[in-house]
Amino acid sequence: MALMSQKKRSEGKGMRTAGIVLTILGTGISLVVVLVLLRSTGPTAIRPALVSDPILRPTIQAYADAVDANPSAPKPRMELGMTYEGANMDELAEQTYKQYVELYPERVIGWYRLAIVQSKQGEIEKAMESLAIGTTVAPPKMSAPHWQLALWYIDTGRLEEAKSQLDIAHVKRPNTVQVQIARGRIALEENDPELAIEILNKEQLISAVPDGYVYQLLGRAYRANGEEEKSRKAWSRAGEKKPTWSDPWTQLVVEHVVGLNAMRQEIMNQMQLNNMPEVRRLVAEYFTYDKDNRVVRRLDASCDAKQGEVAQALMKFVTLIKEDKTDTVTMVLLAKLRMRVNQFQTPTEISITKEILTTVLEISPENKQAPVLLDALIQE
Amino acid sequence: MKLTCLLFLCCIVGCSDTAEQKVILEPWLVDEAKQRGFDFVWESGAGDFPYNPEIISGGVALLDVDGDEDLDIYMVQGGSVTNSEQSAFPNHLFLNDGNGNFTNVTNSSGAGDTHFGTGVTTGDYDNDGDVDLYITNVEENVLLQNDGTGHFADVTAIAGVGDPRWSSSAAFFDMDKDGDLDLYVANYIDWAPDIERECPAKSGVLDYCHPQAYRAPAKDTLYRNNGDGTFANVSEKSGVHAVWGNGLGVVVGDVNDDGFLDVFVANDEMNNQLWINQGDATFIDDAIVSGVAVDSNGAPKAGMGTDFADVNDDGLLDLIVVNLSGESDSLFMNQGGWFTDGTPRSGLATISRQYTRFGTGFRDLNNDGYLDLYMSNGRVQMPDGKQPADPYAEQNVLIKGLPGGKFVEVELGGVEHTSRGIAYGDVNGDGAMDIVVLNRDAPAYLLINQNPEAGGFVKLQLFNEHGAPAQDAVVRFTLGDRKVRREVRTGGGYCSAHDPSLHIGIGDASGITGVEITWSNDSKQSIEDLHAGEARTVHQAK
Repeated sequence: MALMSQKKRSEGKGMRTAGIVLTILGTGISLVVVLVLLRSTGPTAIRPALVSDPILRPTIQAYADAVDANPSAPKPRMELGMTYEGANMDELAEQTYKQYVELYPERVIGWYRLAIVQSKQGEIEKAMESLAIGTTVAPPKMSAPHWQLALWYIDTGRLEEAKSQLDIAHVKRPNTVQVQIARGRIALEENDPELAIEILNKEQLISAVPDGYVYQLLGRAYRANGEEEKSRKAWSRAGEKKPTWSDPWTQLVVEHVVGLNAMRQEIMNQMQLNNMPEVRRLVAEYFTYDKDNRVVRRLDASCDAKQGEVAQALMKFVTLIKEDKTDTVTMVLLAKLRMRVNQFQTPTEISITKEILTTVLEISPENKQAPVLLDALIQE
Repeated sequence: MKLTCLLFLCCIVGCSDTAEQKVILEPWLVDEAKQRGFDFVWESGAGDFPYNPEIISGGVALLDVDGDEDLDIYMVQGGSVTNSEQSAFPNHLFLNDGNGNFTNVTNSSGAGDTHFGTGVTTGDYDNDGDVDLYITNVEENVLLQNDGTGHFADVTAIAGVGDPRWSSSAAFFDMDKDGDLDLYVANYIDWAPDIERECPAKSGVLDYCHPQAYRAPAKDTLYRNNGDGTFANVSEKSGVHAVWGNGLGVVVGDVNDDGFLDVFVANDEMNNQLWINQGDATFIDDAIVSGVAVDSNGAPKAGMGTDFADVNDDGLLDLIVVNLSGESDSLFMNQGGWFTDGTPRSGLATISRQYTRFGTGFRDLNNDGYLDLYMSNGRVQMPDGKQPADPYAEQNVLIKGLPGGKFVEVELGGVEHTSRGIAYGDVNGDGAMDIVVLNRDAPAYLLINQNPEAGGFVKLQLFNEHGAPAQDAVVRFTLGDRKVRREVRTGGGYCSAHDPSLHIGIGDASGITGVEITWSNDSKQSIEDLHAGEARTVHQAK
């Protein structure tokens, strides 16, 4: 009886062990299945209610269709998110990146982009939470998530946490400008202007950071250190723009900026590069979507002028001014063109050019180009 | 394993409750506009084509127009920037019956200016002992002279203060210590309906333009009071035309304690200006070197409302500027005439970013002895995604001041509108600071302070030698072991004017001691200690 019960207990124990093993196996398999299912299905693409931009609309639609065709593929979903981000459709970008990080929590790119769009929307706490997760999955040589998080920590007064992230960033990539800037800012926040000056007053750093931002910080540091004259000098060399810190994906996001705004920007870029055939091509394409845009019409006329088609350019400028009699930008362009063309150098024609520039100053007394051009005309 | 760790971390980080930092105290501010007879809607006139003044404008003043020792309400009205039928949209004046109930007396008051209004400021410009009104408009500004009974006459032409440009905030102050009030007027952009531009939102629907779309920041105007009811435009001579921006907020205070009042102008997306008074009726902009032109990230922000106050009891005037969503407030801490960006350490950096803030100002709203902030919010551009009935509406925010210049958000809840100017004052005389809030195309709020923490208070009403409420006096006193500085000022905030009475929260202290008043002409006057609950009137010696 005792043996039988012992055997039963033994059998029972074995069965329980087997049961536990099976349960663990089952749970594991279920987890794997859930994860596989999650990845193989994935949520449907986030789509906007209405997009009027004729270039942006089909681009979004193409990426969203690609997401729905293959919900487990990370690339189309990231590209859709970046397209929203590039178009400043931050809420849609945030929703899309949230889907991405749920599917691929081990990929830092999702957490980083999510944090950036959350920050753009003023949700700095959420941005820091997202990026804090991102830092845990950042590759060994990638410092950007750490210094970006540190900069946000500084903005919100969490200096010790900022220092920890900067230490990690420094180990991953020593002496990046962002780490030096952040350390300078911490020194300022901690009322240690001497240390801030020591960190920031380096020619290499000053030239590496755009828009004279280091001079701003030095201006603050010198002032805090009681060196008012040095502070004034530093501020006089400082820029008035906020520096933008590029991260490993900035260029990718830029490449996803599409739409009429992006096309206008590209026309201007090509104009600056003097690539007139490309300007012509882009303008022609632009006009198929929006033939009334005054900026592009102005660029079109400028292109004519640059290519020697003066009469055509003049006609286009004059038409633009007739439509908007306060368009001082076109007036200045017209005056400049007239100053270049020989037939407009007679006293009568010069007085007309002067009249155009005087009108510009009447409409916009602060216009900086008109007085310079007028001076040039008077000297002639 | 890695994934499990990640999910765990998600929980830890993702579930951390930022709300735990918020204080929940209800009810604190209760809107009693309707039951108190205060019925006003700021009409934007918004139609299919957006005109910028429709989204930027709207100011409020709390003042005693008829000398009966209670606070009346003046509301600037909009209307339509393109329709000449503006007569249907006068500014409104509401008289207080002494208990905080109001009657609309616009028609009989002469105060119903019918321009498309932006803001208002108050002061006794003619030294006749009553408070006058200066209205900033999209077109010509208007000066309304009070006859002392709450009846007003338009004296703009005689006084010579009809700046024709789109003005925003303004401030009366005695810049040259000659005993009369001069006038600083911030102008926003050189704007007229025919230069309005098309700025589509992401959805393609036309929306309000960013100020930089016009590339037309307007120069401000400084009027010097001639002392005979007229003013001289001294903008060029005084130096305030040296630099300019898209001016929205103005506040006056002596930032370097040299005895002369300085002027801070908050500019929209451009460097701010800090006009340092040179003592000879000229000014030099020292914003950049003083550290208040941009924030510590190097960016000019979309400055709207602004105010000066000593928030950390170091005896120096600190400065707040509220900004656009995505940008934190800027709390600049005075270090003795120059400033450090103290926003991160104050706690304001995380609180403020979610909203586009306009009206603001430091006041003790719970009578605990520390200055709090109310912020009236509302977008200037439509959000993407689903559009609610009012796409510009946002929650207003109440921020509680703590010792050492720290702040924490108070959970307010309630309805959302697009709010602009606010004015502080105790409209029902119960010893708690109330707030009037102007809303775009929605009823204005009359927020009655329930003083939930039941802190004690003392009240100090200062009258100048002409018998009018004093401007720009400084009061220093001891509260417990603290040396406190408070300012007597109507200006500050956004396009609005507050009651200048000094309302001092004292918590559970028995009163304040060592009270010293520095009047705007630098004369000093010590007065006897004030006890909890006491309201005292002090007249400046002639």
